[in-house]
Amino acid sequence: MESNRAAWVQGVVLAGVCLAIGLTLVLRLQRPFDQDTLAIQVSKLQSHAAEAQLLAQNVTQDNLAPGFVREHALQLAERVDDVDQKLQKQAQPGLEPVKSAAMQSGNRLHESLLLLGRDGQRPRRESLGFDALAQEFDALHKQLKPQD
Amino acid sequence: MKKILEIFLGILTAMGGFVEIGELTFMMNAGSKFNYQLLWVVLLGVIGIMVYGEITGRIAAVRGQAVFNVVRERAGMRLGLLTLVAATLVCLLTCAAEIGAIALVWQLLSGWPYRALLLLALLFFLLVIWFLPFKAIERVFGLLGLLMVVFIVVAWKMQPDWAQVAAGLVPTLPSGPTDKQLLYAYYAVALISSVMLPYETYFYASGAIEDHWTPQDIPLNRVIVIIGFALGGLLSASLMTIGNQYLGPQQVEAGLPGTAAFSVASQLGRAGLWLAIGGMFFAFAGAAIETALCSAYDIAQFFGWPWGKFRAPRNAPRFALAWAIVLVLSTAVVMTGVDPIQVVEYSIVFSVVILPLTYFPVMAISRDPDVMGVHVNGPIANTLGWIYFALISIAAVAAIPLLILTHGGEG
Repeated sequence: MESNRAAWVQGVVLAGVCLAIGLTLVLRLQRPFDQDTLAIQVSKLQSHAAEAQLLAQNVTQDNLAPGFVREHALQLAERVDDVDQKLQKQAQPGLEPVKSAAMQSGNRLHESLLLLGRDGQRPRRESLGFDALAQEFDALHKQLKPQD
Repeated sequence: MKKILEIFLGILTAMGGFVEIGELTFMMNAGSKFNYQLLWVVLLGVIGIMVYGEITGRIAAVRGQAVFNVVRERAGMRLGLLTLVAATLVCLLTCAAEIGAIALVWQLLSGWPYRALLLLALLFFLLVIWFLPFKAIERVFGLLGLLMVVFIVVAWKMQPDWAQVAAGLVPTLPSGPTDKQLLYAYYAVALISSVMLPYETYFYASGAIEDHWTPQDIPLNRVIVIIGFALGGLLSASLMTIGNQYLGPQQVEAGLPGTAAFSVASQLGRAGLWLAIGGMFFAFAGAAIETALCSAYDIAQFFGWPWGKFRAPRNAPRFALAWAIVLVLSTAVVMTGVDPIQVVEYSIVFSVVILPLTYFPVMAISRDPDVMGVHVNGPIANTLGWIYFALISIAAVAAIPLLILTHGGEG
């Protein structure tokens, strides 16, 4: 009897702890972007743009099969789209301009990746501007977190 | 000659099955973000998995019992059940991530829709586990997973600064703001968990029973865990090197299997690309099979059901049903559209929480002379086992707070 009661108490405590952790995470996700959380999204976009640049470099060096390039570019475009979706959430006052700039550059990155997704050989003929986009995101990140 | 071949194949299989999608991304990202400053964690983790691999393999050889028989016996029903539920959830999440990663790899090759490839992967695994015997599964996916050696070649070709590499073996905190240091701590916990993933020891011990090990196989067990896991650790360190040398300067985070593949192609061209893709497929597929089987092994061992691939499904129906259900549920998780890389990152962090629950009963039984006889832990296994138990307990306590403080490990 005593043992059963102890088991219930332990179970309830464990469920409570799990619920508390879950609630904390959900509440944090609902809050408007602050400097730290916005910087995380911007640095993801910077990473995707820099990765696209490396991909394009490998195309010009003929290291990759065109099919691979197309599919990887499309997979990257989906990841950029995911970040764009997250950026729809409000930001704290004063951070809206940075967020808007990140969204605009994010859209351009998405478009360029879709172009690469249609034609895996395109970087051989023209620059898709991934390098410049990576620098734009880097500048935005520095605006948010100059100490990094 | 047969024994030597068995040792050789055992070592290669242990190495080939060492890396899965979570470890691949965590290692590359750790290299990209922190240079070699987390290399010491890889060394620490590899020694840890050797210690517990050796102990669980020895228990299996001596007693014919795998990890969850021991958990049930020593931890009791209540704590044992908690461990079982947590371990099964973590295995399920890991399996989901591996299936998702395989669909992403197949998409790179075929261009087919992701969700269709998930279903195809499910069918592939159901057929493979149903029809292939244990030995064939172990050998095919373990040995072909060795294509991952291409990452070692590439790391070597990238000519890392060996002085920096050596310096990485000494723990140092990175300079900079507090959030960077918290992220470093989060990565340290995640890396140790990714190297010491609990399913690896569950599978290893259950595999020893599938292979009908006896106490005569204890030396074989030692050689396999020491050399096989050391080579696996070398592969992990190579991934960190590539992350540092190739992705780090551009601040790229590896979030897709293709990122790892074209990092290899940057050095070895198209041949390297295909080798990397092939290696990743077999490594992820091996991990998906291991995690699905592990869940079934754990459940069957805990409840005392007949289990094992050496039994026909009609002789172990609940075991067969368990792995099939895990595969279906895992596929359902990734069918929701959740990013498999994110799934595996969470599963790795939660894995560390269950490590102490798993290893305490293992330590308790392996040091008991009444149970193990002359094969009881020696002073080295005892000392290392308890030191690692203390370490993973600290990591387990720190894991969730670090996950929250670093915004889910994002910064």
